[in-house]
Amino acid sequence: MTRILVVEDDARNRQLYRDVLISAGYTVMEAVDGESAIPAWREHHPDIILLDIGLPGISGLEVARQIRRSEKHDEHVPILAVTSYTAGDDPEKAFAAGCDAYMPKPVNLEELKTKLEEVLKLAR
Amino acid sequence: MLARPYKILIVDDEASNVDILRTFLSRREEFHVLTARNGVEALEVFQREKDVSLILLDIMMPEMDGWEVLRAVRGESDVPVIMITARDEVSDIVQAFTLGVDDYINKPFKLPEVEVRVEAVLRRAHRSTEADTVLTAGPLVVNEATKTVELDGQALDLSPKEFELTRLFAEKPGTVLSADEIVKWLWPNRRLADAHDVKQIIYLLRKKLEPNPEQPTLVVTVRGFGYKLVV
Repeated sequence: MTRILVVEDDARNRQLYRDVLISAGYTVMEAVDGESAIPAWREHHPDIILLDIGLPGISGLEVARQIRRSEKHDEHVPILAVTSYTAGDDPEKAFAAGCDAYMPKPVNLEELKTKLEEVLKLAR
Repeated sequence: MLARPYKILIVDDEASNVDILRTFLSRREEFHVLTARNGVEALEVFQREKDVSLILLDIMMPEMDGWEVLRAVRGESDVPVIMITARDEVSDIVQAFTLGVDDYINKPFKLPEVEVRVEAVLRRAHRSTEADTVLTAGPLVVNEATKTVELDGQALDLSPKEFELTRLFAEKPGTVLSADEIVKWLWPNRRLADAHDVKQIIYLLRKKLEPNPEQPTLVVTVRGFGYKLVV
């Protein structure tokens, strides 16, 4: 099964993602903030990361940068960023930080599944 | 126990039933109630809303009956469904469960019974989706599948209630949880549990989580409001 790390500070959003991703066949791991995301990535070795950019503390952009800096030469975990237009998130910044794709909020859960599959295909 | 907002879709052609159920369930903050008066409308609402948590479904309705709705819903979703119907033949009950309902309530229904059955079905569905998750919150890693918690990589020996409380804190780090919220989470069916029980379990949890339980830095007291996890 595909292992996904969901990095999202809002418990309700995590529950929504969890419900839809588990029913779609993913093994779901979660991190509640940017500080928790890096050790969770190291510990669980996910196949893909769903990353909220608007995290409190260490932002999603910084999480993406730290992961890219820490990856070994042949490693590349795909990162799908979730951005908020109203919060002023710039998708270009997400790409510059190392994210592979983005989805704007509010996330359509059906589109999310499709997008994840696309990103995974590209990474393989 | 049921912390998140749940969208409950009530489908019944009898307006009085819809009104009674909507009024009764809406008094719970965690329930957001949607309604439909026939099967066609029910499917429209279900597809439009996308994240309906549970359907209370009548069988005998004009346009499209409950059986057709159930088949259509099960064709695309595992959303919990509770049949509420005047039909109490065994053959109907068997058919309902064969088609994938999660529970069955006969009319005339009793509201408290509807409420506890809704809670029970949601709890089961909720737990089944949590079963495979691993949640990282700062130094804590909460593993639902193994019911274990690690603190800075070290496994902790927690009781079931201590595990549940740790999970509740880890779900919402930084959020103040009142004693009342903790009671509802840990003892949903125990009306006599109160703030003293919460103090006791917080005390026990701190002994396992904190280097110095007398001066907690992880599970801290917010005077006058409750407790929060600091990660």
